[in-house]
Amino acid sequence: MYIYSQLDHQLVRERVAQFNNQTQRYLEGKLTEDQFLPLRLQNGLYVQRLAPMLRIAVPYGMLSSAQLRKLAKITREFDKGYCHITTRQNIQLNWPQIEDVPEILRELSEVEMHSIQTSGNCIRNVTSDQFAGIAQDEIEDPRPYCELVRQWSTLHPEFAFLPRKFKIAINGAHHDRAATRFHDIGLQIKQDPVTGTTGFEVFVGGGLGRTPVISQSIRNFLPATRLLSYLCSILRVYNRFGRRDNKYKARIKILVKETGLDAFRQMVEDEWLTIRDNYEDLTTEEINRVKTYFSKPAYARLDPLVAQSQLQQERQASPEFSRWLDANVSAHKISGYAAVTLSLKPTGVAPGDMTDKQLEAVADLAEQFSFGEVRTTHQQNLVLADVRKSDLAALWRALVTYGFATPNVNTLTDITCCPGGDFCALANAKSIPVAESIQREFDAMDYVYDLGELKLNISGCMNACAHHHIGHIGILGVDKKGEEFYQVTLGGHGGNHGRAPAIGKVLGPAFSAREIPGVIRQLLDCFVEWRHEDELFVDVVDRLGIQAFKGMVYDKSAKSLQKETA
Amino acid sequence: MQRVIKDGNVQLDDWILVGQAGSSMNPAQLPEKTILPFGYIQKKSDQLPRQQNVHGVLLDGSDDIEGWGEMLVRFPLLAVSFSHFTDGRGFSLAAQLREKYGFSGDLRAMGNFLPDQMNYLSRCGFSSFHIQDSEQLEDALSGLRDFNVAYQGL
Ligand code: SF4
Repeated sequence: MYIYSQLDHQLVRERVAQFNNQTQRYLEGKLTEDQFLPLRLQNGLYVQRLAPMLRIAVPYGMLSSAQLRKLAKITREFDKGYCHITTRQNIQLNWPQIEDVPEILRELSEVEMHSIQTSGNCIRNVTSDQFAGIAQDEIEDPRPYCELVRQWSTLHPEFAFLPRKFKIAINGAHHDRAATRFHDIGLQIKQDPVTGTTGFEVFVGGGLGRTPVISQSIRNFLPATRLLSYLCSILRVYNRFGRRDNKYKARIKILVKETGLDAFRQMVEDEWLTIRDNYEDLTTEEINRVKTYFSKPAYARLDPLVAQSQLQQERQASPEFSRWLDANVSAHKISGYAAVTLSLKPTGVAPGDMTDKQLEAVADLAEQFSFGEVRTTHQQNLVLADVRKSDLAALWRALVTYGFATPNVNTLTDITCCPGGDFCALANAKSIPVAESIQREFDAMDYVYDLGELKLNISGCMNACAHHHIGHIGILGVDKKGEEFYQVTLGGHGGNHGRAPAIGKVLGPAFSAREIPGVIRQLLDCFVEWRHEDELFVDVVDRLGIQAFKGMVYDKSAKSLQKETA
Repeated sequence: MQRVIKDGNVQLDDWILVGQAGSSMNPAQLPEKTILPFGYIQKKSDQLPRQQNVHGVLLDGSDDIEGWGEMLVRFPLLAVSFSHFTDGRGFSLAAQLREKYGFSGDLRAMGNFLPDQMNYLSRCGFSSFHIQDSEQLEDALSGLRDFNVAYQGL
């Protein structure tokens, strides 16, 4: 994991001091509400429905045990004893006081954390694959590049007042677990087929929100040493020419669309040609220096056969353990090791929420079982990335105690869900209670497993924080004459396992919250009836089209409604 | 005379800003150290005295300077006006003037920006700052020094 240098420490300290000063001037009335707004947003501070919200950066999802313990302390002393993992791998506090925020930031800086650029119209936290560095299908570990981009984009003087927010994701594996095609810039690591040097295919103009767009390739191969000057060129063209007259048309996706990809590419290349030779780009030495922070931990040499046979016995002894192994444990590129996903989706807990006690428990477990590191995921879960297979049973027992062992990862009840109307000032509808009603409806685990991998995402409004467009089933809160309704989309996909990225299609008129569990039931009944062998839900949507489902759902709900009113 | 921040302190400054109203003026009669609107320069470029360029040009974030860069960098002063402090186009315009066109004269920030943006502005290449509200001079000066380190080698 990256460790702060002198410079990193000083920079974060100076930022804390700056924000302290800004908060004081605001509280004294020297900065107006309008002036303070973008300044506090760039420090992750929102004013929400009931209280302020502070979003803390977790660079590409990496956390240490020390950081988890500090977060636990902060949630206890400045909040209500819990926090929330976001779909962009960050952490949110729901109840801090504005006056306390500078002190919270100071506490965070002690463990090399901050909230810089977690909101506002600037370059946000760089996200990546939660299995970076350990995935079997990896070309190269993306985290050194994530860190380099994090540094370059942090307090970048030119790009702090962009037309709109700007998100970058980097993927280093063959399968894209970082949804790079739905980011303003997506970087896919690849190797130059001729020289073998590392570089990126650069995608631009993706995004979700009101107008979901799949990004397009702007450059087939960019050498890693040219990354920063190229990013600068894209950002500069966007900052100069991106629309500022309409917030909903201000993302780079609209600029790329309105300009046309070829013309946009030409503008970027023109800019790049003039700046790249004098630009302080990455050197191979600098890349290698940062790589040393992400070198392999001290893996033991383990006999895979011994571990395997032990695991086999433990499986037989406990069907619950066996089920958990199948659902929550994934392969590791080092033999004898596995990656464990901690489910933050037990029924009855808001998806992604964790208490102070749980944070501390994970800190201990990470130290005991996984080199003191943990990762947050886009699906709002946690990952212990380097667990010995021989430790899995012991770890599982501990996870059961702390409520992390719900064996539902990548299944229907592993719902990705934004805070919605319970917290968020922008919401059209609540999302957390809808997630819970679905979890309650589908409490039969055998049925849920039989469905196979199924991604269900619920956003409380068009901003799409829960990425409902790329849920196999997406649910979007809408406002119909002051009442909360939910639109259902089918067939979305982030692009993975050789599948092209896709945006879900709207099933039809929206439903009430009460109807949703029944509608999901109907959709899944159809799927079970129509599926061939191991087909996933999305496969069937692809094969039969949305019309097939539409007919069934609206016919039946029309009938059942008649019955109810009769 | 007005006060501007330059070289880390407050200085008196005698540049004169000519608004759009001055656009009808004859280039030959312009007093020295006049900051002229970019639109005026575009229209009268062939009539401006070539050798001793004594004027400045006022740009704003929406100006597309493509094709004019070489001409602009010959002026001793370029001013970039901010219509609103959240409109960050001027930051990139300044960086382009310095990096892409090699402007080495005085690059002045004008209009609506915050003391909290001084550090970023100067790192994008601005070398002088016209602060509208003189009560903000102190905050603006200290804003220049908000950061002593940076990740970017600008
Ligand atoms: S999707 Fe909407 S309701 Fe949900 S967190 Fe984002 S802005 Fe708030």
